[in-house]
Formats: sequence, C-alpha cells, structure tokens
Amino acid sequence: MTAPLLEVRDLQVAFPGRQGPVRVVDGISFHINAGETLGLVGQSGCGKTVTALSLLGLVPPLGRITGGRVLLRGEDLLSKTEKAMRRVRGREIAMIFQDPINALNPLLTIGSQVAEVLRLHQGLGRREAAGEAVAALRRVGMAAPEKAAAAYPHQLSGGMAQRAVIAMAVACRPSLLVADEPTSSLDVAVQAQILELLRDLRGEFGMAVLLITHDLGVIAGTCDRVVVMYAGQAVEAAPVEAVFSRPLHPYTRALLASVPVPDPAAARERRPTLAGEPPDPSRPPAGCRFHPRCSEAAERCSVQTPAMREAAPGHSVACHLYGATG
Amino acid sequence: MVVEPLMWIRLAAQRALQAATLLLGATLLAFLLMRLAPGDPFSALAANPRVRPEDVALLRDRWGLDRPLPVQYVIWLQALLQGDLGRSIRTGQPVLEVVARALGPTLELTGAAALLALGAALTLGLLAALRPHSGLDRAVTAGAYLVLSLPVFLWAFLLTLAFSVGWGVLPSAGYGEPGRPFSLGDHLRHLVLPAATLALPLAAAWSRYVRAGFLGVLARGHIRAARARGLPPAVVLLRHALPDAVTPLLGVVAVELPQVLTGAVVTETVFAWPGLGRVMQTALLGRDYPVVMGVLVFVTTLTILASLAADLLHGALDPRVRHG
Repeated sequence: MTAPLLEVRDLQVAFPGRQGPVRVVDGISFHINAGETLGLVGQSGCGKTVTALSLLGLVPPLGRITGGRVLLRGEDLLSKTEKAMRRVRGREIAMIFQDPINALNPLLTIGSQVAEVLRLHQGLGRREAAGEAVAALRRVGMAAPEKAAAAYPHQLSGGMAQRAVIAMAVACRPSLLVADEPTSSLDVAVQAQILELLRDLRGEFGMAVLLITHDLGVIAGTCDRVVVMYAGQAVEAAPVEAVFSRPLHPYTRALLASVPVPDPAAARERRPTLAGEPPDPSRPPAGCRFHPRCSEAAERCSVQTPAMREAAPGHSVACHLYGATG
Repeated sequence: MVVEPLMWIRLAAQRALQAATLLLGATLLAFLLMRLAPGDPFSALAANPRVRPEDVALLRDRWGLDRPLPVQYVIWLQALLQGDLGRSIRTGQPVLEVVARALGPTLELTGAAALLALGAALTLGLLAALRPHSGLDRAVTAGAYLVLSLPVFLWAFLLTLAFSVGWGVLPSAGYGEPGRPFSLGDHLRHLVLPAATLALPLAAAWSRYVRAGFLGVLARGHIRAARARGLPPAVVLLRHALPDAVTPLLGVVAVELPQVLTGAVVTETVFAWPGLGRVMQTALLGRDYPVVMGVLVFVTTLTILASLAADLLHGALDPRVRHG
C-alpha cells in the first residue's frame, strides 16, 4: 500500500469554555488516499467543520489545535508557519463551503475573484488571469461564462455561485478538495448537478475529495470510503458499500435507519428514531460517548472508552460489541 | 450594467425636491429661532443715550426689521431665489462676498481635520478589531471615551497648552505669522492645532464605527473563504474586508458634517481661524441677520451635497446598492 495523501492522527481541537477548554474535536484519526473521495458524516455540531478547517490551519478565533498531527504527503502541516500554510491553502488543499453566495465577496465581480486566485498562485498577469478566469468558469459548466465573470455574487443563483466557488477552488489543481456541505443549501436537482461536477473534476484532475455532509444520500453516490463522526470522535470507518450493507456501530445503524425513503407506504410506518441529543461537548459522558443513547449499551460502555479497531479488512469501528477486550 | 436613463432622471428629481424641502425647512426654522433671541442689530445703538430713538427707528425701518416676521422671511426668500443673499448689517459688505471669503479657510480646516480623523479612525479601529479585547483594543476604547467626554474647547486649550505654551513648537492661533509674506510651511504649522482639535472627537467616534464594521465583516463567510484560498492577510484586509467595513462609515460621515462645522465654530474662534465658523460667531453676537442666514444656506447646501456624494460613493462601492 502506498502512503496516503493526507493523514490525520489523533487530532484535538479545543475552544475555551466556562469550565476550562472544551474539546470539540477529540482525537480523530483518518487518512485520504490520492484521488480518493472520503466522506465525513455526522450530525451538525459533531466537529466536522472544525476538523476540515484544521486541515487548512484555519481554526476559528479562540479555538486551538491542542494535539495530533496533520500530514500531507508525510509533511506535518500543523508545525508549518502561517506563511508556509498560505502556500498550501488553495494550491495543495482547497476548500468550498456550505453557502456559496456567502463565500464570495459581494463587492467584487465573479471574474475578478477567480482571477485573484490565479494571479496569486500561478503568477499570472492581470489580463492573462482575466482570460483564464473565464476558461475556469467554462470548465465548471457555467452557462455563459463571460457573462458570469462580469456578474456580482448577488446576481447568481445558488448553483451558479457554487460552480464559481468550485472554479476558484480547482483553478490551481489542488491535490485535495475539502467540500464542507457543498450541496446543503441548494435545491435537490442542483445538488445532483454539483455532485456530478465534483465527480467529473475529480476524474479530470485526479484530486482527492474530503466530502463533509450530514446527508447519507450524498455519501452513497459520491464517496469511496466513509468516516462516521460522533461527538468529536470517529466511531466507524469503512468502504462506502460496507457502511450501507453492514453498518457496525449502533450510531451508524441509527443514522441509516433514519434516512427517509421516498415511498408513501414506507414513510407512514413508524421508524425507529434515535432518542436523546448529542452530548454537551463541555461535559462528554465517560466511556463510549454514544452509550447514553445506545440501545445495546452494556455496563463497560459507561466506563471504558472503546478504541478504533479493525473488525473486518478496511472496516474499523470503535465499539465494545466487536472484539473481546476493547 | 445598463441603468435606465429614466430611473436616473426620477432619482435626480426626487433628490432635488428633497434638497429644496430641507433647505426651506432649515432656513425657516433658523429664521424664527434667531428672531426669538432678544435684541436686534441696533440694540447696542438704541442703548446709547447720545443716539436719538428716531434715528434707530429709521435704521430699523430701512432694514425692514419692523415689518411682520412672515413678510420679512418671504422677502429674504425672494431675494435668495434671485441669488441675492443681501448685505451685512454691521459692515455693509455683500453676504455672498463675506461667506465666499471665509469658505476657503473652513473647507481647508474641516478637510484637514476629516482626513486626519479618517486616517486615525481607520488605523486604530482596524488594529482594535484585529485583536478584540486585547490591551490595545481596550486602550483605544478608553482613549475614544476620554476624548468624547471632554468638550472641544477644552481640548483646544489642552493642545495649545502642551504644544504651543509648553513645548513651543506650534503657533497658538492665526492663519499665518502676521506681517510676514505667505509661506506654505508657516501656514501648515498654523493649521496643525485647530485641525487636530477638530479631528479628535471625530476620530474617537469614527474609530468605533470602523472597529464594529471590521469585527462584523471579519466574521463573514467570504473572509474565511478568501483566507482558505491562501490570500495573504494584507489582501484579505484591504481588498476584501475594508470596502465592506467602511461603507457604513460613509453615511455616518455625511450625516455628521453639520456637527463638524459646528465644531468648527468653536475651534475657529479659539484659534482665530478666519473661516465660516468665526463669521457665524461674530454675526450671531451682533445679530447680523443676513450674514447668519447666508452662512446657514451654505452649510445646509454643503450637507445636502455631502450626503448625496456619500450615496453615490456607496453605490460605486457596493453593486447591491447600484442594482437596487
């Protein structure tokens, strides 16, 4: 096996709280191979976005990375200076966000914003960059790219804005694209188009994608592997087929069971829903963080924290149900 | 973007109507308030025992002061519409001439003060916003409140005391060294203290707007996105955050212009600066009605123009405003 493109080891991110630091991300580990699409799935507030921002060294104000490593081709990004990280951002790792209109500067035209990235990372001249920006917009399937380049963000639809944001992100051929809920604010039909675009671009440029979402439907059609996150920790990591056919962790199973099926007969049936709320990150429960909501919790679950272990080849889970000692 | 010419015409007509109404209201109010004040231009003369009351009455009659107030206002307004601001009762000079002569120094002083204040407010507000709740932020905040809690004339005296009386590096008053030919350096040295005095409260207030503006913008998604694209901090701050952060300030500056000119009345008087403020002060004390009204017409017009300029600038900066 070749070394992964990106490896995250035991990453911890803390924010100051009233009673000392709150670990929003608490020891997550995963890896992404070159050209692979990894899905990071979990409820809102479980630490997905903070994990993603940490990869770029952009933890929100007051937050701090308190432990772990982020290795890009074996090089630790967390020990890099801010100046060195700026050469990674956009060039090696690019990121797109949930609300595309909000990710664009409202006062500048789309074209000038795309051109700005090209001038910064590829050293293009002003005129060259302007032409290249139109080409980049055409590449992401923007209808009438010249018109879009002259438009301001508020004149674009959500789908068009997300295409523009993607054009900026892939303009410099990054080796990893972090997509944080890229379709959550879009119409279903547009969602499918954007996901297809991401698949196409991945094929064209051979870039890896870290797709962050709470939507298992998005995961199913797009990802190679999936990491399931709960309360700041990874609870299951597996190839996408295995997650849907043989989910191991009770939380993953509950997530899958709560996916609505577009069939009126099935929808009217009472479906098992996950009781309770995710824990308050400032006071996580002892042992397994999922045990207060778990239907299969045993006594040791409230005492001993389960470690990630391989239950089947390429399929890891952090649960006492699997393996003798935990 | 193509904007329909019809829309421009409608907008211009709307603005002109607004301006005319404002000017009418402001002059009417000022006219009435001024006449409510005790005395008139000839009170001092009337109190002089060697002047005959008939002569004073003659003078009042000549200037039309004994006619009913509404009639006086309408007469003044009719003259204004023909471009005639009348003559000063005290000196007999045409008001237009008096105002025009004083306008230059006032624009110079307020312009210099506004630039100083804008520079200081942008720098301090930005520094404070970059590290909220840091020592620097607290110091800037405390400084702003200290400046705003003391009246302008006190700052004028404190600055004079420090730089002119104590240190002796700057002249304490005047538009230039008397009896010497004009030199730019000497003139600018005379400008420093009054401009700084006028700028202090403006910088204090504006730095609060800049700080709040930057704090709001820096938390926005497009700033995070710009950083995620690897843009250096200077580009993020100056190209992506600054225009958005200062647009609210534009409106504030335009609205505060009358306040700046009010501040200039005090500052110009303290520093013997030959501007509109001093003309206004002398005219008010002498009840020189035509001069007071003339200055007022100018200041109101300036304010209306400034707020129009701010709107146009806002439109130029923000396409969302332009496209309605």
